[in-house]
Amino acid sequence: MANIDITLNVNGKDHRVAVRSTEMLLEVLRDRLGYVGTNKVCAQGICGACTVIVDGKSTTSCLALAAQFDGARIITVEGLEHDGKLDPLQEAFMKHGAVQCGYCTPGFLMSARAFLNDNPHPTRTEIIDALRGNICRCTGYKKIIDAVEDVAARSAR
Amino acid sequence: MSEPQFVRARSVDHAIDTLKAAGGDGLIVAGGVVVSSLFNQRLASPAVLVDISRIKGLRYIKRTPNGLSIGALATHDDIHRSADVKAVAPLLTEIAEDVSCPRLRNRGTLGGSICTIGGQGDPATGLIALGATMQIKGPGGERTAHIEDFYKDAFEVDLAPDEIVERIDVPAPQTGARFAFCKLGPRNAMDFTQITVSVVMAPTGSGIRIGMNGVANAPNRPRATEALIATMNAGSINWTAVGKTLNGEISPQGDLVYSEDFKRHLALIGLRRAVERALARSKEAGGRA
Repeated sequence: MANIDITLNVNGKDHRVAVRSTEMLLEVLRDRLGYVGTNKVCAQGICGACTVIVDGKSTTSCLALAAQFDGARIITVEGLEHDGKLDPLQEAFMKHGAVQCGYCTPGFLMSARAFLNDNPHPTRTEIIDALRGNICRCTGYKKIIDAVEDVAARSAR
Repeated sequence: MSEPQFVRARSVDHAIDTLKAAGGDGLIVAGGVVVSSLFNQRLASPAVLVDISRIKGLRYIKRTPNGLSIGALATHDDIHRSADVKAVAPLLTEIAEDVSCPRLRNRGTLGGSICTIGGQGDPATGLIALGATMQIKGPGGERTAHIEDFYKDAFEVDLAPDEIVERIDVPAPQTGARFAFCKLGPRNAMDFTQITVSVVMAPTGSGIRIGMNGVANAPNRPRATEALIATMNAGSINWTAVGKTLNGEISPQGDLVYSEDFKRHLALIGLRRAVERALARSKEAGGRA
């Protein structure tokens, strides 16, 4: 029974929603609130396609009980765009061809965004380590890492 | 399947009362990583789900006269970033850095790791090697348990259904103690490792404490192996002899990919690498590490 009332702030907008105790944050975001950019793949926390940013930290939304997130500030891939302008990471992913089938892309973007917010000028090794929890089955890792490195190199010191 | 009742615990005592009232059919959820995975696989169906994640005063890391005190809700990320952990027990910093990946380290807690995936988790090995104890609270009051005694069997820990781990106390190693962590598996990120070894060695000589995972149903402290290594010269350890003793103390289970024999082989390699890294580290630091 969906009887636990929570408020989630998603991309700056408050949503009141009643959830079941075993309902995952991913399901609430996608199925109840329509933020379908966040993808479900493994439901085991392995692939990273469902990564969102919760209170500033990258979070695995398929392994997150929604009921625990009352009051949380969540950013999904839809929230990366501001006033019709894409996030520099999104621009760089396009420029570097860092997208093949695209299914893993939202997760990579959110992991990379959380990481760059925390560490704006990483080394390439640090970028690779930061993205270790995201799997691209098209194996397009090099271009993804290039794209993140490009954004890091262009951001003001 | 009926949905569990969700209770947001206000305090440790509230959580214990709720668990007690659930009569053994309650499940604690902290960061939610493992519990969510159990639900996704339909492997758990408790009557009551007790959310301890908002209990104030369980998420901290602080220095104590004896070493470190780590609240059960401290995340792997908290541990990884903690200057106090790095200063007192850098072995735990190294381990935290390699736990899973950032998005899971942000949610996963030390208490949760110890209680739920002990037999596969990396931190338990470091805590065993460091001689950590756990502070546990239940309806009858508080008690202390040595972490190596906490594990009984696969997914079986010395924790009553109405008890909660409040904190982990880590004694500071001796000044100059040498340490290392070694994990062997398909890849460092994400996969549960096959064999994990942590060692803490005395500042000189070959006195050693070992914590291992993947070599039995639960984390393991091979005491006879520790005793044997302590009799040897650190510079010329007889690994054949160590391997024989270690083999008698471990009981890995073969799986679809790795046979029991191969895991026994890996266990010795992991131990040897950890010891050699610990000894090399003391040289790097001019013996002052």
